Amino acid sequence: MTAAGPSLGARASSGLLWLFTGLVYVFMLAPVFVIVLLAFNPPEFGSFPITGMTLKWFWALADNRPIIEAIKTSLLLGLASSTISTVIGTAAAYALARFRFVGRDIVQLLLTLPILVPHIILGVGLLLAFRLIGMSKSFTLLVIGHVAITLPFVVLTTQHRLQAIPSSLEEAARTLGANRFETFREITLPLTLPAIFAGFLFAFMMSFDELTATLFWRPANVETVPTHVLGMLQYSVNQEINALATALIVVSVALPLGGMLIARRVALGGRAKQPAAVEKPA
Amino acid sequence: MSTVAIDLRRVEKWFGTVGAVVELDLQVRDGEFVALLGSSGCGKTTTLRMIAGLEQPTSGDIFLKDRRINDVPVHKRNVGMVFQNHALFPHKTAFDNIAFGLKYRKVPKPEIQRRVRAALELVRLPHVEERLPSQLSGGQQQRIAVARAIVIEPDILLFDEPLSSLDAGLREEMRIELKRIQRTLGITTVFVTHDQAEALSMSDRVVVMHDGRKEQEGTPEDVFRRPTSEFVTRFFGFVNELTGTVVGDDGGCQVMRIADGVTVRVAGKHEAGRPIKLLLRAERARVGRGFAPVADVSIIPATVRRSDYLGMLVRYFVDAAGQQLQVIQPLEGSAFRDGERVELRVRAEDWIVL
Repeated sequence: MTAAGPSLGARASSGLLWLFTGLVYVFMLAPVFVIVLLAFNPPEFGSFPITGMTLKWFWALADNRPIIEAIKTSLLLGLASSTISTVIGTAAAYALARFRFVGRDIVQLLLTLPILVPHIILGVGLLLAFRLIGMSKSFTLLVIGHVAITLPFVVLTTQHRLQAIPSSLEEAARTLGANRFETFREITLPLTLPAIFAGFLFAFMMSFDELTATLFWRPANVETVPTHVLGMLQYSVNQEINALATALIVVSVALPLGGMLIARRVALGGRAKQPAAVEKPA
Repeated sequence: MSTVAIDLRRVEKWFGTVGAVVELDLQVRDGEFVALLGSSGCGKTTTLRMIAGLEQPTSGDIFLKDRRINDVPVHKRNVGMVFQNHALFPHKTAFDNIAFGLKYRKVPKPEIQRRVRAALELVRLPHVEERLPSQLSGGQQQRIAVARAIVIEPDILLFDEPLSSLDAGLREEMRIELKRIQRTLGITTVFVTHDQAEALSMSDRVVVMHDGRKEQEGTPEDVFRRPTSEFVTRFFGFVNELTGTVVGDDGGCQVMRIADGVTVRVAGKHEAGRPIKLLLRAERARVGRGFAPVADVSIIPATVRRSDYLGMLVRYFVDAAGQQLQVIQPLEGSAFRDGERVELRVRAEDWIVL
């Protein structure tokens, strides 16, 4: 006997798939939703039921000097380390993707390793290494550490893209009269820019989110957003934390979305030029 | 009449212990169209890339119009190159792709416009200036790639298997187009291909390469009709292999016995008293019946074993002279049936003796 529609078993397994997919989303997103909801709840300590709607915790957040300082520190640290990572990482990715040189595999490994090594080990290791050469904890150490952590993300995204660009494009540009630098600027860079930008965003988010290693590297009076929140949590779950979390959720959803839009603009940028083709061909 | 445009003297390229190109001497005259023909890994592309400057020769000298260019970087050589997959810049319009080389030659803007248009006219593809490569068909991309290479008025034009990414019908069309463009400009051209039909139909001279070495060079007819090695012979289609012994003389030809009671006439003088290898291209023999017994033609009794219908052509597998031979010929009427008694006709000059 042949059934016209999908068999009972197939329908059941398809239903189960949807159920599990739904559950995964619920477990992942429900806590986030709870935090956002509580951030608007008036009582001092976040608890259900919701008794009203207020923005007062957000105003309190804006007046909280230590938190504002922590955000500033995190932004500065994130921008500095991800910018440095992007510059170094793009150069490294270009070298790895385009040249064969002695020790290439080792460089590749070293640049990828920080993804695999637990941050606590990176934290202790870098701190000990700096002690060894007589440097103490400082903001510079923090930036260097974050560069090490974020570098792999820039290298991997950019290198992947570079490898997808056929080298014949660069060779064609060179036969047409462009030197290596002009070829990079005119051909390689524009085609890689979306990946470089994605790598930069990735690096920034990683840096902004980093807690474990940062605890080892930061000087005594420097707090980033994660270390500050950790400090606050040691006393109580403050409503301002919920407000801060909500603000960060908004930013971390908006940032990649905005980034994607910009990346698409950049990718389309090359074709935007529309020279007026009005005059008759000779 | 003509001077040498490209001159390769004892050029070699070694990758480690692998000789990609070995002891290569190659001269291309001004305005000549030379095809480098060979299977993959024979060194033809490496040779082309050394002329372009994309590879450095391990030893030997490369001259371009009497100037040694070994140490001249790619971007200063003024060569136009068309790549296998077109290599159009995907983020630039057709216009900007073609104008790319002119920007680095300090050509003023109105002049760029004029020359890009002229190049587009030449490749017969006006009205696509604003399109991106992804909006063009394979054949159109090919034309843009050619326009981009010729617009800079290069000293030489290099093609690296430019037609291999196109489908069969388009390939034939572009073959004629490329030849027309090359003739119009009278530009010295080196064309790399593994396709014998491409090489034979387009070029003034064919250079067959094998294992990094030049195997044979000559006009297409020379190389095809008078191969000097078994490799070159076999490169142009199926070859039957027989053994014959000289048994007599018959005017301009020699009579050779190829099997018990089967003798054929073979052009040229050959050493008597020892077995000689005879090669016969599948398309140089004819299967039929009632052939007129003309001088210089041998007629051998044969039996059809099997036939492959190839559309305009038919391939016969026949038993003759004690072995199985292949024959490809135009199909006139209906093919002979399996098992049918037929005759095999071979002209004396079609036997290849190396």
